[in-house]
Amino acid sequence: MALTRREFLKNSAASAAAAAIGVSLFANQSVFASETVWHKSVCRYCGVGCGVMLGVEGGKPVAVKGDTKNTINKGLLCVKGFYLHKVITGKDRLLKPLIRKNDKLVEASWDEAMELVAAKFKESIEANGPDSVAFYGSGQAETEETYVANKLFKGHIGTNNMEGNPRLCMASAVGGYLTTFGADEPVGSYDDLDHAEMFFLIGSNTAESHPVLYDRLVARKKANPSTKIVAIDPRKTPTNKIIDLHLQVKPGYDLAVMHAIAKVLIEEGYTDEKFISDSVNFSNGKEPITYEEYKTFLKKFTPEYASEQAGIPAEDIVKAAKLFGQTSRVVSMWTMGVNQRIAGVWLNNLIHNLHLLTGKLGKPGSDSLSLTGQPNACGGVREGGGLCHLLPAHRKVAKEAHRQQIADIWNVPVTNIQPKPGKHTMAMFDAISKGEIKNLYVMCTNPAHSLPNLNKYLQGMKDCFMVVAESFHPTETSKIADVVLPAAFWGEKEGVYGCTERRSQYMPKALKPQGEARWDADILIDLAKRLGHGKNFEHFKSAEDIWNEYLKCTKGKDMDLTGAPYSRLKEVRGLRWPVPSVDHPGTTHRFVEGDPLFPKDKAEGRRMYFYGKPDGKAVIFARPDKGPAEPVDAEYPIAMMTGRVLEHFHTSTMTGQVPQLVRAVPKPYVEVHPDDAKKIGLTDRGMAKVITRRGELELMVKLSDRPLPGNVFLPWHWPEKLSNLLTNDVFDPGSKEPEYKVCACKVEKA
Amino acid sequence: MIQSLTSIFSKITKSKTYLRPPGAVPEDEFISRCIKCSKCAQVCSYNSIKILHLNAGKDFGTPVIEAKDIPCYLCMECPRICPSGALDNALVDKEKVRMGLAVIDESKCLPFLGVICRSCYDECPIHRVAIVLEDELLPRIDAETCTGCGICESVCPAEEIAITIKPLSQLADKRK
Amino acid sequence: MFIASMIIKVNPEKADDLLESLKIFENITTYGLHKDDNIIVVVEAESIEDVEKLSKRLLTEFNEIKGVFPTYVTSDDADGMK
Repeated sequence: MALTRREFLKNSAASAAAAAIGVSLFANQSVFASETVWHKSVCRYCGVGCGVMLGVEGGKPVAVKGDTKNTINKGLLCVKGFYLHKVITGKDRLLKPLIRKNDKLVEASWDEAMELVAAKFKESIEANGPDSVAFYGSGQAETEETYVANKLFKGHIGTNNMEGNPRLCMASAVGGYLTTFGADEPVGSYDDLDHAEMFFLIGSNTAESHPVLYDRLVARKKANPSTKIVAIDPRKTPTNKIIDLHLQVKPGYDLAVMHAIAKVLIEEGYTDEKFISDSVNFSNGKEPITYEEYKTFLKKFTPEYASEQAGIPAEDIVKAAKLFGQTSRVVSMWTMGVNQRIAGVWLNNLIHNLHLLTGKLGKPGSDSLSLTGQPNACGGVREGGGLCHLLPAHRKVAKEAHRQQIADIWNVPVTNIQPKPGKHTMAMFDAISKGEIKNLYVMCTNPAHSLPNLNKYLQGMKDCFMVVAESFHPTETSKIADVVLPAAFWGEKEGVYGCTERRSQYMPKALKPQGEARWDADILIDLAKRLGHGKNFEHFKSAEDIWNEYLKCTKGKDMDLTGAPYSRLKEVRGLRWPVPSVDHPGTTHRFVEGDPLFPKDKAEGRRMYFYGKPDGKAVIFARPDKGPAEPVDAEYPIAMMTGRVLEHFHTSTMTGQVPQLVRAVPKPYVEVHPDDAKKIGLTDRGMAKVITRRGELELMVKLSDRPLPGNVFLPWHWPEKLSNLLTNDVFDPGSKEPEYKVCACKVEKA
Repeated sequence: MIQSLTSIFSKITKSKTYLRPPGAVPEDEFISRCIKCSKCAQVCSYNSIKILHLNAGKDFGTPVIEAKDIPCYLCMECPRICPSGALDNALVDKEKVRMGLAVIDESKCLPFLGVICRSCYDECPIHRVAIVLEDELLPRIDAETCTGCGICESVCPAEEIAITIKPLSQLADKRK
Repeated sequence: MFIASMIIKVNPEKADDLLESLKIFENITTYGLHKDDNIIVVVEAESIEDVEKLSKRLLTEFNEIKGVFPTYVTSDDADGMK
């Protein structure tokens, strides 16, 4: 039974008395102790993968607490996760389907809404072919949901126009892992954080974007005070509190710094020559080169040259390099500051280079670890194959064998799956703007807020027939949709999330969906039936059925999850693939002994064998240095950076439901250095106009020494001031990931 | 004992103690000096300063700050404009403001419950000084440098606000 | 209705007896003895004056009580604090 208000007040009063004499009265006694049922789950927010317990009482979510048995967070949560239960019952939960009539969204029955969606899709597919429709999914959807969408669109409708928002956040990391190691996702795991003696952070505001991992760094430093932390970041962030050396580079000019570090490592003799000759090839990106040619390539990248490029002292570059070289165990971590860049893949390669040169990889305490922004970008979209060139379990549409394997599992003729990749996210929205794609199905994401250079794409989204399956309304995207389908939210459906460290974790259904909301996979199966593809979806009676079919796709692949059926996942705190059998414990380090896929015979004594590459050797890349696509100039003299804050997540559709989080950071702002403010005539909390070649915004000014003079910083969470009206939609030619992180702007007093 | 008991109760219930604008002289003197001209409220561009209504009795017409709604952002416009000396005209440095003192209720404060939260710490205008983080997690107030501006109280995301400003008048015996 | 919490400082030897005695009061809830000589109680009363009266009574009637220290007061109706 819940406490009465009176009892609650009495307890509060008694607690206050207890606090006055330094006693904790209710420490072992939860306020909800009596009849709250706790369900083991995974946090809905970022990619860290924290274990949470969802407390349910009388069919209602009452609390969330950290799962003390989960080794990722050991019971710790960030403020977002702590309030997760409040999101479930948030004020903007959509409870009924909506369809657009006379330019207004009005309530409709499920049947009416689904008939409309099916009719529109049928009509367009028949008249204009399957490539006239598209699907845009999410790194926050369950693996099961993405799998069903993939099967429907690629295998049955027959279009590869199937993308997901990880294109906008993780694609460059994927490109980096694939080109360097021949296989996506990290070599090591979070376990390395507890053994590292140095952390090398680049383009990662760990303290705010991955708070629980930040706490692990703090704990590591406390346990081992000689642990060093070096950060490359154009902005001072809260993470600076624990770092020993900050290379505050000009936004977009850090590639030369990475090469200079590599050069110092070689010159000072910090390389692991045996490892290099055993396990490393060299390439200039077009063709193989020799180690000597790589050294020649590096000649230009003296610390002085990099210093000039990046605007930081040359001696700091040398210091960082020496630290990297001298310390035996190093973990590098990065996020959007590296990935959301025109040279995102290259920069990923350059991080891996340092680990390959020094052999600091594939052993406890050393890794090149890409941090993920979404809870299931790795699991659902990267592993599940939810991008236009992929098929489930690290397969490619372009490979006939891969198409055949998946067509067999999907029970369709192989000709159903097109061999040509579909349109990647930016090309997809471009095609929508041009009217080439006529129908779009959006699931669990908010592109009308999150795409860069929005002015270019909004009209197209309004003009096409857009279906949005979403738990919350209005969002910027649902507002302009033709059909909005109420989707069950976290806690109201079961499924699997796969986090940063290759760990898949199970989430139970603990609640009935609010209103008439339905599970996304169920909606997609309904659509499949209405489109006449029912027979290959009928056997999906539960999430477990979908998961089991997906496990068949993973069998024998580098991301083998055969040993992770629901029965096992329900018991454990996740499993890290490859986990080829139910008695296998999962894998902490890949490409080394202990990895079940490590081919001892081929390795012939080599410590690491990168089995994703034909000769088992990873690649060190001699990539040219490249600045931002839009450097500052006389007309737009200030570099504009974007990012996030601790209290909000992405487009704030979730955190915006929690009054306490809104209160903490209520409105959009631009961070301006006091020196710039003085020049422009801006005052703290006054208004400024930020103008780029693509748009302008009036924003509250927050004076701060976090950006350097000449730079400003905009968090991107708020719908009322869309920072993406200003951002640049130019993208990395390899990963197709846009350069959100830096563009040129001017700032005026508003 | 009985006397002090009564006075404590009266302090926390009956006569409210107010958070006054920056530079306010001690409460008794403030009440006698303030001519209720509202100039400080007019110059406050954040609407932080409110003027008390009739139901405030003898305090009617005097300026107050409700930090949990709109705190003082320490722009330092109001002290210099006060015509009566109720606010110290000579006060110009925001670091020298002492309106009150932030107090943390550890039974409500999220980091003390094992939740990572740094809202007060991040927003404190005497940044990294007036609020420090013990073990990079637990916020602690530095009584020497806290201005009592209340920005921390205004942003606290705890279920019940965990950091509140005790106005100068309540602290008269603790610090000057 | 007002709800107030207090720390009652007591003679440690008599503390257990006193804790029992306090349970007789209908409007007092006890929350145990802490750190040898502190009893935490919560008092419910119609007015602040009643809370005060009760505190006085405790001090005068029980010799074992060395002091009564209010720590918190609230009201269980929304505008009771006027």
